[in-house]
Amino acid sequence: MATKAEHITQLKSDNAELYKNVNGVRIKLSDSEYDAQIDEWATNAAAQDAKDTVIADGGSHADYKAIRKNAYISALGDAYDQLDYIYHNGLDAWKAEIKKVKDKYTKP
Amino acid sequence: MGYYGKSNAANPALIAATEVSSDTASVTFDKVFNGETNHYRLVIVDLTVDNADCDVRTLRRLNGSDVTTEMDTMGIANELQASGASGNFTNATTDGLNQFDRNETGSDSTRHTLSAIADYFPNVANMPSMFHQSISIGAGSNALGSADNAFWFERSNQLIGSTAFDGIRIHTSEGNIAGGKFYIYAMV
Repeated sequence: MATKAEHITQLKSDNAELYKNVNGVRIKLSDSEYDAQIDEWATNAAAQDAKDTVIADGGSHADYKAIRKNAYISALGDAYDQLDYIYHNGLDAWKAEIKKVKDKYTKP
Repeated sequence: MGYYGKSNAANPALIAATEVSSDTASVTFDKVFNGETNHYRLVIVDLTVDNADCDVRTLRRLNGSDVTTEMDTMGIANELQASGASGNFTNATTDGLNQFDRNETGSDSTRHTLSAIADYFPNVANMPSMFHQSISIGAGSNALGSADNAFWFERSNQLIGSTAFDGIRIHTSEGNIAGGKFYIYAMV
């Protein structure tokens, strides 16, 4: 997971100059506009990295309650599939599988 | 029976348009919602982006500046698949920001293209607001599949209070807009 500073460095390397289109006219960003745009992109990229980490790794993250909840629900799987799993494997096996998800996505 | 469409022959009037074919950080339409009509429509066709894993978003404009007044927003979205179920977004407030997708434009190796329709009521007496529908799909693809999944997105939002706006800025969360066609129509 890259830091915001690392994103800034990469974005500046990838975009030596930036342009905007205003009412159909292509205009090069001023130095201050350029810095502000790079900073905005880097801030968003760092935030996205943090969200991706929550989804991939689980854990307890108070700042991303909704994200954790969605990932948790997705990991639990469809209710009908869970019933089918219980039918074939029994309640204890099902509880063991659910515990894995609960342990991964702990409450903050 | 009266003919309500007499002033513009019942046709939307195209009042601004631009096409992007090289990297551009943002596409702005300033002072297009000039009050001659109350309802405007933004149409985006085949918008593509440079970076993977970014979302397309808009900010309202007034007198050439972004409007970051707090705004109420709600939405619904999902991936278009046989097993797909809709995902609702809880009502939330943002600082004027509206997302046109959910980090799905450009999120896979094939790159996605996004098309959208957004309706604006910028200068009405009550509740300046907008709502939009958008869809993104693997660029050059007309099929649904693991590499080319389509995503649909709907959202409506309103500025809290009565702050009017006269333009719109389209940009991404990270990276340039690589291409796309953008049209503004005056409706009624």
